[in-house]
Amino acid sequence: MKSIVSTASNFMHKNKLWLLLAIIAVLVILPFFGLSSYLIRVLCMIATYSILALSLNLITGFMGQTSMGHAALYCIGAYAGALFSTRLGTNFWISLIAAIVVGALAGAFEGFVTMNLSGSYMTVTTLAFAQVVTMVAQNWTSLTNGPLGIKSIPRPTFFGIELTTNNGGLYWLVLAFLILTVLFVTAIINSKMGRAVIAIKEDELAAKLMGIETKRYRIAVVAIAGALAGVAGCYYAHMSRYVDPKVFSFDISMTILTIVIFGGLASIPGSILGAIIMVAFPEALQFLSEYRFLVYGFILVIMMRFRPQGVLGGLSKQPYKLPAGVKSKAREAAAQAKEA
Amino acid sequence: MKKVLSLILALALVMALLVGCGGNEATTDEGGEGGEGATGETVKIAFVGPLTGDNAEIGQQMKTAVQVAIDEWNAKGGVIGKTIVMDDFDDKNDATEAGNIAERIASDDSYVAVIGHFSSGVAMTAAETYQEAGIPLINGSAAHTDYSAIGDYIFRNNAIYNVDASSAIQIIEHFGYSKFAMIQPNSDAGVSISNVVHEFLEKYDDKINAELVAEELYEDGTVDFSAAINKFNEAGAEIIYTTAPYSIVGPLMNQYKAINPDIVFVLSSGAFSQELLDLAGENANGSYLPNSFFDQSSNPVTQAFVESFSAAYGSNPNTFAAQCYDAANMIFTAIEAGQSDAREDIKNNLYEVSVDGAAGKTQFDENGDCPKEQVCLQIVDGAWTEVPDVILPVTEWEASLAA
Amino acid sequence: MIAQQLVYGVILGMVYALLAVGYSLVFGILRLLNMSHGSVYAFGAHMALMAVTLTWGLPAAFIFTIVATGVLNVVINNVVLAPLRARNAPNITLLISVTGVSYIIQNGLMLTFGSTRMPFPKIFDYGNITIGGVTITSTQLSILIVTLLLFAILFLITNCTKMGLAMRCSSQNPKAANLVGIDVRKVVTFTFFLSGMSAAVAGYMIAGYYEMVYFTMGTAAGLKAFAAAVLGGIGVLYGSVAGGVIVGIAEAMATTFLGSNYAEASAYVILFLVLLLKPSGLFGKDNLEKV
Repeated sequence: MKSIVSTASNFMHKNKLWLLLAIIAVLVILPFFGLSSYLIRVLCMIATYSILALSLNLITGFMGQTSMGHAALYCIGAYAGALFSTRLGTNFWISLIAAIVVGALAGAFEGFVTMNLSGSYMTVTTLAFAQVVTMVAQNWTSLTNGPLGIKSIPRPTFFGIELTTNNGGLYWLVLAFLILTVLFVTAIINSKMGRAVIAIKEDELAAKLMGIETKRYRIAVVAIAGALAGVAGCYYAHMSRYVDPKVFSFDISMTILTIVIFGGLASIPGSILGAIIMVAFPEALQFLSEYRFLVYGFILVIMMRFRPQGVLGGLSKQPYKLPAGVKSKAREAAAQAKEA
Repeated sequence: MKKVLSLILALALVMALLVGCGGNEATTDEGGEGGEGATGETVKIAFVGPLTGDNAEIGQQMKTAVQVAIDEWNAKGGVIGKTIVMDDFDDKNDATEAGNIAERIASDDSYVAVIGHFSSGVAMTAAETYQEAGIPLINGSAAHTDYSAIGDYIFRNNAIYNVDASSAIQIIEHFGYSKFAMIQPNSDAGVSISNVVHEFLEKYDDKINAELVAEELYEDGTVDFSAAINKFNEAGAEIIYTTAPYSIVGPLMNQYKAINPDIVFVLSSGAFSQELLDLAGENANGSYLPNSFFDQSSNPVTQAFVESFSAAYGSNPNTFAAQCYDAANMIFTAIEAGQSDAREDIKNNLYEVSVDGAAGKTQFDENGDCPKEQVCLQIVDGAWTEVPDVILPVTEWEASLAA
Repeated sequence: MIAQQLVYGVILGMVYALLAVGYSLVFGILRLLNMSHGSVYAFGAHMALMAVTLTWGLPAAFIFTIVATGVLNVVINNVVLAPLRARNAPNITLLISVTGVSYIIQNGLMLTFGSTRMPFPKIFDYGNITIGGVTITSTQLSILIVTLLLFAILFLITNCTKMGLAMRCSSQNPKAANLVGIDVRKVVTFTFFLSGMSAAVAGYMIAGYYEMVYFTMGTAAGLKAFAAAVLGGIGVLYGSVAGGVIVGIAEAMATTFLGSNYAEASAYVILFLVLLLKPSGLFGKDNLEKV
């Protein structure tokens, strides 16, 4: 058993790229298998939450700052997109750009006010931020229509074709967003910025002493997270075609955080897997009726009990990759050992 | 190793889940291919409502009421010779969940009609999907004016806001109060009703004597009203109009009467329940409530329903339960009338048939609304009693004011 | 009117303080945001209701509620949290676990007691007292007294007993406390019992004040009490009272001048502003690293 697993894991590591491409290919052709529009919608929600979780993972997983108010950025993105589409009549793509910009600005603001905070106080400030955002959405009636919400948001169109769950268009759209988000987050993590951010997580003081401008990076990361949440929010608003302040409650913030932790901190596939599980469970448990959140609670507790670092969390066992051209003694030694 | 193992386990779990929820649809799809609408020996309807969360008991009551109707029809041999079955779904009164469930129901051909969704906002999100898919939805609790305008498949069996608001104003006028205050939920329902009240007051400025002296919107989950009560007291309010559910009205009454024992309340259908009497006790006495359902009405249909409902549920039904019961009967009557359980036929026949229901005569107009006549109830010595000749139907009332 | 509103604000603040102290106690030792506390409080209120319905008499009902709720909290700690700590799991994992526990308790209550709001007999109902145009009901007065009494007892426990000393040691440095012979595990268990006890008192008093019990009663109130605890400086006992009172007054003032729809969020606006100016809360200590 062990050897099978280890062979499988070796295979996975060796052919990572091919495997990924194969998975993407399967995902792309999925709507042709005659899935019901309900299942497509669930897949869309999974992808939306994956984007949100990846966005929060930048803050929580990579930078080590826990946010219990990520729904705030999601909410702002959704409202920005919805308002552009309904009030200004812009098409989906313009609204999307608007949502990204507004989301990034809101993120920058959140990053700015929390840049000196850490630990529990960071957590609670983000929670308060989210509550205040909901209150504004609830009471600034002239802009947001208050508790009545924004109705009849037009669906996204692509070269004149209306994208729905029935023709699979909404699914391909969010899949494209998700793939772009994964590439984007991977690029950030492997950049200078990514290394600075991880340094902040490991030891903020030491990072500062090494000359990293920690505050600037903290603002930038939350702004980027805000932009990604803006994408998710704008997409959600145009998929469900209705938003009101209650959609972005504290529960949503907790769900996003749970996905990140459940999947594994600082793990990109983890965020996606976490979203699959956390979105699919409440749906699949529908048959339990009033028992389902009891079961959901047990699942959370038991999963955390036996895998506290999340499904894909924990330290990577892969050797650290040195940049090209840098010689490592260990690598040379390994190479020699192989030759011998 | 553990990581890979747990990953494989997790994936297997997810696969099982997705196959699980996709599975039963696959089988029903096969059934559907056998012949349109000929799904074997059963007629399947879907019930959606808040079965968990803050509004759980309302959802549970509505579900029980629909089940009571189904049991009665099945005892009589079903509808067009088929047994009626119901699947229930929990939307937690949450728009996102409701949207998911609507897609799920709409994409499953075996459902012929849907009953439920609780609040207007949630029902309206889901209704767009039902309308597109062409499956009739009857809701027993939404009061938003725009709800039934979503489409011809969208019906409602509940009083619209202007009915509630006009009844409340009529009660205040009839009993001669001159200063009233409003406290409404800060939700689509609360804001809409407060707008309608303002419209009436402006429109018939010279005909209505009562004056609105103070107004508050409260957030969901509020239990402490002392500050708002103090504000009302300072403004000299004699009577308070609220459309809050019993769960809010109970503590509100207790807190208000502790400060001002003379205050009177005008409530709405959400507060019509035995639980209110339990929660507020003596403090509830004297309150008025305009309603289209009265569980002690002498109507034999109402009596029969109340009896079988309380046998199944353990307490008397609230207004929404009664209206969902009537909604279920409407669907089955429409199926019988057209001798067809195809979605489109049910929709068409729903405009034709009528039912003498537990909450009065139920018949849909061309918008899919059911014009509701309300009676004035009052709590006297801890029990609901009817006060006759207080409320006119909206149109008649407006006509009398315009005259 | 303002004076009256201030009084109402203070009473409401006491309600929040009763709950806030439970968050604060656990946080002080474990640096854990115990999100299950709201549900534990709802559990306490349901236990109180059960005891009251069985007509055991006030003292017996009170003791039963406190013991049952304290034991529940100890069970949560020993079954769910202690094994995680033993594995050195990140604190954020514990946060998700307690959220799961919160789901279990809340839905368990719904399945056992039903989803209706149930009446609870009013406590200490002896009419109103009016001083200088300000009216206060005897029930409100009793909330004020019981809260202050509870805080006095907790203050005595943490400052004048050996256990309290051990708690304060463990709070500052659990490793060092272990080295000098303090059984930190026992201290944590005791703290959880104490926190459960405070939840039971809160459950009993608040249920009696608002005259009702329901399974979601801990959700909104719990979150706001949590905000109050952080506002005052979580981990500091008097910080909870201060935070609670500030939140209560803020809500009363928001209702008076802006309307009830702004009351709900006023707590968070103040929390947000305070944390910007003083990141550790009004009376908090600065060295709080974990989540």
